Amino acid sequence: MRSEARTIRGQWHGRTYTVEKELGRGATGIVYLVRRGNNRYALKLGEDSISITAEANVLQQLGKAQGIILGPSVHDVDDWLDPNTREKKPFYVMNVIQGTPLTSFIQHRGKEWIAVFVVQLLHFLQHLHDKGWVFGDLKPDNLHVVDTPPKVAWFDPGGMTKMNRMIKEYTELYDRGYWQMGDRKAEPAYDLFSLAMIVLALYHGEFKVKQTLNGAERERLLQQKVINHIPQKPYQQVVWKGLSGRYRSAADMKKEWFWAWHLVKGGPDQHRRHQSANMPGRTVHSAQAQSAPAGHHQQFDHQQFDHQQFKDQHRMSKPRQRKKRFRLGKAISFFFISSFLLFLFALLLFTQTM
Amino acid sequence: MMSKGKLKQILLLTDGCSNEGTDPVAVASLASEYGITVNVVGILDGRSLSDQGMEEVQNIARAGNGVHQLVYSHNLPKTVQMVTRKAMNQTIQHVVNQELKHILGEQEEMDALPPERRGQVVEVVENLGETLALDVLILVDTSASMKHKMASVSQALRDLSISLQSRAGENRFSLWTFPGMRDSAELKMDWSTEFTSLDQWLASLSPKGTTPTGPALEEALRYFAGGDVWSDQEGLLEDNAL
Repeated sequence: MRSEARTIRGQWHGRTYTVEKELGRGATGIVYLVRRGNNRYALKLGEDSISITAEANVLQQLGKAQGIILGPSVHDVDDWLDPNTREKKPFYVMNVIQGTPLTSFIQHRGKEWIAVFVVQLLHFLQHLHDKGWVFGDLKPDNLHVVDTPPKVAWFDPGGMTKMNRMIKEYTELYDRGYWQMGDRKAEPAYDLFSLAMIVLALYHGEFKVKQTLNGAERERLLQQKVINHIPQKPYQQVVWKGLSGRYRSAADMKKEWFWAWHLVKGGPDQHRRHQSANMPGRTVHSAQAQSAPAGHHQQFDHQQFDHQQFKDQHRMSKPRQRKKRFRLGKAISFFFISSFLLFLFALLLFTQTM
Repeated sequence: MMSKGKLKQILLLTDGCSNEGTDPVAVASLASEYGITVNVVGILDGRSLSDQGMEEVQNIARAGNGVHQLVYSHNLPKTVQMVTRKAMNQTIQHVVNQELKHILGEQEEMDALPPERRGQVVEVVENLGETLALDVLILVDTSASMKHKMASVSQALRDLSISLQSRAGENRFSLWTFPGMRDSAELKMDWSTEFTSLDQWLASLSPKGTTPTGPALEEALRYFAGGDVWSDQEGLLEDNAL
């Protein structure tokens, strides 16, 4: 059965768009891939003109601040009279964000990319928060990776909320209110919870929770998941601090994520030995958790998560560097002494032959 | 931007069709005349709500100028929050449209403005939604069939209070269940800024098998009237210059 090509024509600006296919459905409307002339766009068609106008507003205000990472920008805002229902429907038109969904990119290219995208997202959030906006509905479904070099891009502004207001739209798993780890007031820590949860979900896969769990049980469940599923301890620490709302700004989290990355990549030998000594898929941390006495839940030592701890751990790598430098110095002096001796010997030979 | 105006909502949570007393649709119409919106969340089982029940859910909300949504109990928390917020925006939008008619002439509503000029109106609506005081009377059906849905209901109500407490404006909740021991509905919690001992109240199910939705709504309306609710809704925007 051939479906009839649908066109959407704006009542105010008179532009006509040909619908090619549906891209996705959100709480406020349906997004279509459309064509106008030789250009392709994404068109969001809604029912309620308040929410459509609000979203287009956000995008237009952010338009000037774009450039950190790729996101949608608005080309047209208009109404369309649906000939079937005779209803007037508001819509806005934006650029198409192509690329691979974040989750499948990580599945194909490896978990080492997680750290890269976290930094990119933190950089983006930092700018967004400075502009007075909170993303709100931050989740893997709203993130794509556009390639060469791979860079994370966002779409769906439905959750964008002005600072200090009530979060407009959220997804339970990534919502700190649902986890009873805080309220739904738009503030930087709200987005940082979602981002930490994205990291956990990228390592673990998305998961569900029994509704009957109370607040304390939910928190403990999250701790367990962080310990058991994120293999690198430094990342565990930053993720947990993000989940428990202990970063006040994206800049703080970015700083500590960098320390963590440094520890994972170039840090003490000890860490690498741990990883290689373990079976793939089972980390030293989960092994520890399992060897703990039954019924005893391994808890985080909160003391561990201080920034000081990061610095201390960082310092741990310094003596090693000094040792390296010392060895290098030794080699250089050995070289000089031996070449001096060689010179003396040559001089001796020279004077003898004279 | 402060306002003396207040948003008043009744939120009805039910899984069936009314079978006793007054027509709930008539009571909802009456409530809306007094500026109280009636929102309905219809909870579905594995087997779905009867056609009659679904139609009633829709008609009560329509008559009560409110929002309705049918939902499976595991999706209840998000739905209750969304319905409440949507109803708030709808009420405010209605009032703002009335104001626009005053300013711009009889035909003008927000949709009649070109898209470029809607931004400011949206700003006003969102500001009011964030700052206006809100009273929500929650009316929960506790007939026998609701038994295994009560955990979801209490989760949903706790979740609602987390959302609303994140607003700048003041919120008050009151909790009623129906059918009551003696009357058609029973007061479980007087106006309060948060839910306390929710589980305890929702654990006790009604012994009666009937679903007197209409009389319960009447009871709720009467209780709302006991407060300062009879002030006209037109006064909502008094302190807010558009």
